[in-house]
Amino acid sequence: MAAVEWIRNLPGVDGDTEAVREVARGVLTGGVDWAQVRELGWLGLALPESEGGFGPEGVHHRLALVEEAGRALVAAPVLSTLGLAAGVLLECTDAEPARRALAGIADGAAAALVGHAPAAESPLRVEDGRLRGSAAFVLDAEKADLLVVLAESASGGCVVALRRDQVVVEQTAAIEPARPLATVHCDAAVPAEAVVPLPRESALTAPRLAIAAELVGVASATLELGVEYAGQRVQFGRTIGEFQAVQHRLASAYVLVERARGAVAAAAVAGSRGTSSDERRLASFVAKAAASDAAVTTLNSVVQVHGAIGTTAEHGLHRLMRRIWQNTALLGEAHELYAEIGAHAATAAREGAGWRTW
Amino acid sequence: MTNAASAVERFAAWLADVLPFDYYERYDAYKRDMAFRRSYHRLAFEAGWLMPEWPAELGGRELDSASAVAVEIEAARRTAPRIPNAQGARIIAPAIREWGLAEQRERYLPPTMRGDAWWALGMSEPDAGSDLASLRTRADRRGGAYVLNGSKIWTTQAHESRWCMVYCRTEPEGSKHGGISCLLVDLDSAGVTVRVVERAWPTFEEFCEVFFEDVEVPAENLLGREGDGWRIARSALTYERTLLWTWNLVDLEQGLRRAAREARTCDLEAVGQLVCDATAIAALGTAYSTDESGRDKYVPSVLKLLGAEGVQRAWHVAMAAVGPAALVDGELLAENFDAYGTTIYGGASEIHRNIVAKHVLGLGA
Repeated sequence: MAAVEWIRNLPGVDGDTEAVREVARGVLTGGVDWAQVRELGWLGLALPESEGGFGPEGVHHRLALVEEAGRALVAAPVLSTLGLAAGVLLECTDAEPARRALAGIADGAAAALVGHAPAAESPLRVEDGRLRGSAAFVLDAEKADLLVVLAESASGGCVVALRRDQVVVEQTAAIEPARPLATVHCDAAVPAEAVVPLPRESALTAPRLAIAAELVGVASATLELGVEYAGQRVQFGRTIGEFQAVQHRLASAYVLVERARGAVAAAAVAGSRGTSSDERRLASFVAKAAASDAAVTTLNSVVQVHGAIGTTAEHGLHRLMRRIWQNTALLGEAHELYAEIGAHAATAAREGAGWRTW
Repeated sequence: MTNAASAVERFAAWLADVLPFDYYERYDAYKRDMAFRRSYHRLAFEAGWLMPEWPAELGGRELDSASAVAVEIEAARRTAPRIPNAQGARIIAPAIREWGLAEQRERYLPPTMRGDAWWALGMSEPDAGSDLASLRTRADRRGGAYVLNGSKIWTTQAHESRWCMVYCRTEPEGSKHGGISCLLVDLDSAGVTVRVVERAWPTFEEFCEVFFEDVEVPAENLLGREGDGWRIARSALTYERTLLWTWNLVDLEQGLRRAAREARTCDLEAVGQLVCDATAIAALGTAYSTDESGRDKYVPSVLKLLGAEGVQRAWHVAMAAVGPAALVDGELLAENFDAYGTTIYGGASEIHRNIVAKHVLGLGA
């Protein structure tokens, strides 16, 4: 179903993002599977403007869905499909193969992104009409009908969309059962016209931002769990949430989650405004670094607030922990990203350019 | 173009027009130049940019609140000069407009907005800092006047101000919060002594101790009714927080730029974190200002925490990046020293964490 009508019928201009978020949160509290995601019409957000979808401002809606799916910790590949794969394809809607792949997603195909972490020994390359190589740490490959592969060709970075039957998916040990990891091996014939040029650095901008958005959702859910427990657990004759040491730890986590929310919003605005690709890339660094920081700090505090119960298999906290650890490890660790942003600031300061942080 | 975008464009054009050609190169000097800041205040008032959301008859441009905050953020983005007596025009004037009688508004607002009448904010006392409601300065009604006794401390610019907005106790037996009233006090009155507090370091703004000994304050100088003081203080603090987060944003940016200039020695990760802070503050501040639902009532506490702690960190990172040369860099030392105040004034960080824990997270309520 290629419907984006459900958004357009929401209150606000084309359904403002808050309305989208509210609907999504309501639906997701019950948990959804992929069939329901298809029926809900969410996948219409993969359509480019020329095909009846949203223009660049659609990024706000997509990120809101990804964030809410993260908050609900759904197993359905919402991040992989709408955040990662569609995020890359929407960068190159001038190319017919990208538009076709997006139409496939809008029609219900689940998608995965391959190549954000190329295998060192056999990187993905397009040569002599074949795409060969492997990529590690692919999310949701087993669930995907469509694989969006980032590769190198003689003329630079490129994107190729493959069907599930064109690749070999090798499940790897994974820490997050709801979102398995795989190594994907490719050896497929690809006609020249199916190879869409896209520099690797710009290709990773949208996926990085999408992971940041999901992390904000997971971090919020983690904080909520911690706040709830602090309000129930009684020690020394009162709930532990009445102790200032606990209050301040959780309040600090809240501030970091809001900081991440602001950074993601800023990057989304940059993405919807036709800002230069370097600026958008940097904004995605800011978003991912802030989101990882928020998620990890919140997790650490919430584990501590729970005490031993939080480390049990029975308690749900480890599910959030698994998702957070998986997301923070992909597309740049916070400390690396912070250092890159700092290096950029230093260069800009040295050149005295009219550079601004916001 | 949206209202906000066109307001920002007009403001930016006006600002570019009034700033001296070397403003950005010599920002450090202009920042300390009170005559320059006074004239900027006057120009901003005359052009309607001091309180652009106010009605025209009060010198505003009748902008909607989203446009007004967009202008505020643009001012921060362009490091616009600070008006020299900010608490007067930006905190006390809005409070007088909100709580004052027509005669009080007519008497105080025009000179305050023009920048001719300076104000001090008489809140903290030696024994009432974060716990403001425990203040003890008292005003006893005698005929047509209140007789004021007590003292205030950390009163910024009291030595240069004609007026002071004094929070005091009018019902000694009344409740802790309910017994507080707000008086507009002429600091030239008999019985007022103002003493500048000597700081450990030269600083951008002096603060004072103010002593009141049987000071007669005409009853017509009561703002609101007796017992309204706590509510007035809370609304004044709202104005203050909006002012503070945009100022923090400017200072944070200055500090991180100073650090980033030392490319070889600065802590790049820390600079990256500061860039994230600034980005998030601007984004959250913009979203907050355009949200009419009121559900984000406590966002200013988040902005204050991020901004104040960011400013402090930024100057510490800059100082560390400069290394031993910082020891002879008066500007850098002064900024570092000044930055300690950011997490204390306008509600200490601990108070804002209490607010977030209680009102946002619902802990210990």
